[in-house]
Amino acid sequence: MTKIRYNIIQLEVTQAGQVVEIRHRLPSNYGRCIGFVARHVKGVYSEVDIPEIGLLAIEFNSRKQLFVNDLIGYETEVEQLPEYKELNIPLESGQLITGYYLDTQKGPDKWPYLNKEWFRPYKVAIYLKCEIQNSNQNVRSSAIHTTATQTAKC
Amino acid sequence: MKNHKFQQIRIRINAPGDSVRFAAETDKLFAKVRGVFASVPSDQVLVGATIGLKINGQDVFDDAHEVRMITCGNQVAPNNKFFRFEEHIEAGGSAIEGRYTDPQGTNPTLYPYDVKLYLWLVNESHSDKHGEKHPEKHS
Repeated sequence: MTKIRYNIIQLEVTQAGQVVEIRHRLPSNYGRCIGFVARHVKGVYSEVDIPEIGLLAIEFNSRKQLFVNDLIGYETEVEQLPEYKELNIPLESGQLITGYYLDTQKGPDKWPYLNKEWFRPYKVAIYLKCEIQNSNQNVRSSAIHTTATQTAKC
Repeated sequence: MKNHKFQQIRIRINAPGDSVRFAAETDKLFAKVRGVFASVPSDQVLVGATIGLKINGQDVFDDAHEVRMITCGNQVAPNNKFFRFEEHIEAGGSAIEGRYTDPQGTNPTLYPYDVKLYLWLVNESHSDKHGEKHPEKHS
């Protein structure tokens, strides 16, 4: 039976213009990545929506597939349900998800002399929607382990 | 026999930063959980709030899953408010377990407040009659 799991990669941005490196290992039983959403979690405050606070690039399977390039924005109010963008990437077991997040926020023009003091640290989350394949096999392998343990005791 | 039910789970949050475990059981008369929707009294408590959810022993959301991912504003039509599950999640008296974590540093005057978690329960036969917008997998 195919099951779906949502894996979350959280990034902390602490400086204006910072490049945050992504190195994340998905659980080995994930078979395919079928969607993603990346969004600001908390930290940025504004009275109006900001279409871009950063840029995101993600590679799958230890840099073998560059698949995601996205803009991250900020929304003042909760409106629509976040929509997962479709992916269809078979995942190789044990491989890394890598990439970069670049902060591109611009400070207020009237205070250029404040030298980035307007900046506040914030968090970004990347939600990966993945299919788990062969969950029955995993159950079976743990059952074999139990049996072997019991045999050893006898 | 009814084909839909919106089952409500109410979670009381007393103070900023509270992390509250909740448990319930799905209605036995319905076969499947089609979707979920979280309702909070203010957008302010939504920023950074997280919810973990397990139904019938199946991990649906990790504890770090933001509540924002399963809610939307008042302007969204009732039929489109719910986050829909693509996989089959068994209802029929399944155990529901979860944890709601309130973000720290929010306005203290907002407390206490209730989070309402709505589960959309259905019986399988009804989905075919109404031509659902989202494809569902039954494996």
